[in-house]
Amino acid sequence: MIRPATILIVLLAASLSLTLFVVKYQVQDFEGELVEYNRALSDNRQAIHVLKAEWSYLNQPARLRNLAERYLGLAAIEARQVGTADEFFPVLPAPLPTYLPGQEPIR
Amino acid sequence: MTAARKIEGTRKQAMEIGRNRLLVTGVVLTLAFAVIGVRLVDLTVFRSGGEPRLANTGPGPVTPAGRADIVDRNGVLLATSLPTASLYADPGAILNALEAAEKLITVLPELDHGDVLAKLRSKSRFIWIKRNLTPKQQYRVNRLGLPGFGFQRGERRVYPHGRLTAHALGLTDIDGRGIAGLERFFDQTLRAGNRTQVALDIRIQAILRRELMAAVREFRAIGAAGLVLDANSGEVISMVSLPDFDPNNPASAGGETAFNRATKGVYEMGSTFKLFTAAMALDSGTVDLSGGYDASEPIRISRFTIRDFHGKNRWLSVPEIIAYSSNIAAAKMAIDVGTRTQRAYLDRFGLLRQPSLELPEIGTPLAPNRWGEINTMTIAYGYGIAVSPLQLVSGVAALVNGGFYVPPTLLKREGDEVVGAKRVLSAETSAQMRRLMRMVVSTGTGKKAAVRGYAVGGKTGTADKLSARGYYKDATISSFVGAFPMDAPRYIILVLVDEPKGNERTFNYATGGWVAAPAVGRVVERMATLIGMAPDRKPEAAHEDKPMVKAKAIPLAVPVSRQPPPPSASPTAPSSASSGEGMRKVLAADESRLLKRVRAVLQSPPRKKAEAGGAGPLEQAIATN
Repeated sequence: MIRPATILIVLLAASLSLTLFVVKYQVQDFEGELVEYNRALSDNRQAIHVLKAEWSYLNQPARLRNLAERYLGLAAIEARQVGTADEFFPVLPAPLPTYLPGQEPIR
Repeated sequence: MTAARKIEGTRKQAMEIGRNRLLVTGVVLTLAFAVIGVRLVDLTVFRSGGEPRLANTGPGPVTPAGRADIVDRNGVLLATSLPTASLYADPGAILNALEAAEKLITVLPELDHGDVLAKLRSKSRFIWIKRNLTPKQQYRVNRLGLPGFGFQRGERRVYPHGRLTAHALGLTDIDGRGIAGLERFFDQTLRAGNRTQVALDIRIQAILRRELMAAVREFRAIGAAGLVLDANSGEVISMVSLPDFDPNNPASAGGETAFNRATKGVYEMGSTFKLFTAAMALDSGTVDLSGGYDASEPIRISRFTIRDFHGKNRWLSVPEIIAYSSNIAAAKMAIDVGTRTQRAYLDRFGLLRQPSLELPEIGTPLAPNRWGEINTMTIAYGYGIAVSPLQLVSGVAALVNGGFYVPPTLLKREGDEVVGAKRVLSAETSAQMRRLMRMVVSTGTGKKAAVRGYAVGGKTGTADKLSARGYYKDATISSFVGAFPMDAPRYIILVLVDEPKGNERTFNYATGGWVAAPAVGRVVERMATLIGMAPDRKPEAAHEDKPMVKAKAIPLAVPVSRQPPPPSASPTAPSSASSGEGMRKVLAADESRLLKRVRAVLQSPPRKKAEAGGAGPLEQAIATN
């Protein structure tokens, strides 16, 4: 004679072991993925490290200067080209009073 | 009946006891299980029910803890350790040596075909093909998919900026141990994986090196040194020594190229020392800005003479002495200050002790053991004492920054942090020194350092080099130490050129004013625009303090007839028509007192060295200047 409780327990045990089986394999897969990601992370960090060194190398001031002079026609800033806003504004037409209503003109 | 009842009673009693015990045990057990049950529910449902919010991933990927990076003050990478791969082969596992060699040559063209083939056909089981491949090369070799090849991982120190910071950073050996410069000084720290941020600014370093290279080329010099120091924090913003080496190619670092002139080399600096002489005279109250000394006649000491290079042959005020760089007057000024005071001040300016900088290559200054009055006189204008360029700039920083000696450092300071500052001069003297240095550039020997819009100040120096037998006639150390902006100096800049030779453009002069001052001027102009400092377009006189304007007016306006009377005349005799009558009187009194002392020195028997016949360095110094 099979009691309903026994059936219930057997079913429960079966479903639990099935779930356990599935979860275990899932975890294994995830762990594999994690190792993969970690390796990629490490590789990318290495690559960033190398690229940083290369970036620094490519940004040598003397090299940039040379390239800017040759291809861009740029030259070093001269002192006369540097100024403050105070010096700059008198050259411009007086700020229109309507430009910023109710406010002091920008200085 | 009674007995039965008694028995009955005993049984009842026993059962009662049994029941009670059972009840107590039951209650205790029930309570225990209830506690466990509650705790279980608490732990599983309330405390950390469900999945953890943040996955516990365990230890992350292991990053190879190599030697740490060195970065500049803006975070630009100066030195790093890169993983490298070295290609090896197992000839036994190679299927077709000829094909493998041919393929390998296509990606590594620098290899020799025959050589590789011979290696691949050898009997050994392990053979190096090429050490330290770049990542790109490694990828290409990998892509060939050749069996029997493998990579050995390694680490290699790389300096992306090469020669630019060679002397400051130093070098590591093949095993990654620091053997020079910062790499050696901070070897333990770097190996422990701590990133080090230095005070250098790679952009200013490039500017300084470019100008030094130009000066070395133009004047066919054997070397040069340059320093840019933050006047207030003592940070070394830039340090260049030429000739230099490529730290990526350690073989290039040997002998002359590895020598750091900026910190290890000690030189007699010449006239730049007059700044220190003037500072100590002003600070100790020996003389004030309106005072001066007679420089009309050379000082004779036995057979030797202290002469002026830019001779004016008249009485000179203190600003004039500095502006025209008068050896005679500086010597007299130092005599007046006194040997002991001079020594004390020089010590406070950090010129007599080894400076503290984070480098193993630090030179020890050379100062006389017996510090007599003759030494005092020659040291006044920078002979008979040898200091490193680093000491000179940190000493000058103390003169102009308000009077604080700040130990120089190669490490970046955070914010306005200043470590170990010591007051060595009064703020007032420092302000006077700033004005004196400004005058050297506006009207004196350092005119070529002037930059339109920026108040540059400084002092030229030209010193004959010391040889085994005496001083060379033509070999000089020409230098200029400058500061800017002069109203509140932020940077001290030194350019020192070793053995420059004059050319047509400089009328064959190879002095500090011709060689080093223009270089400092160009560095200032480039630096100022780089750091975004706006030039001052107003005429400068408006900013000058009154005493300076007066002092400025004197040198150009004083005619010869207004000289103080010659020392033989009565010191109190009023000089002819002149506005500063009272002042003159005092000066003349000072003058005669000084001359008495100088005469006393002159009349004392010559030193042993001179008697011995051979012209020693000291005497030569006096003779050649």
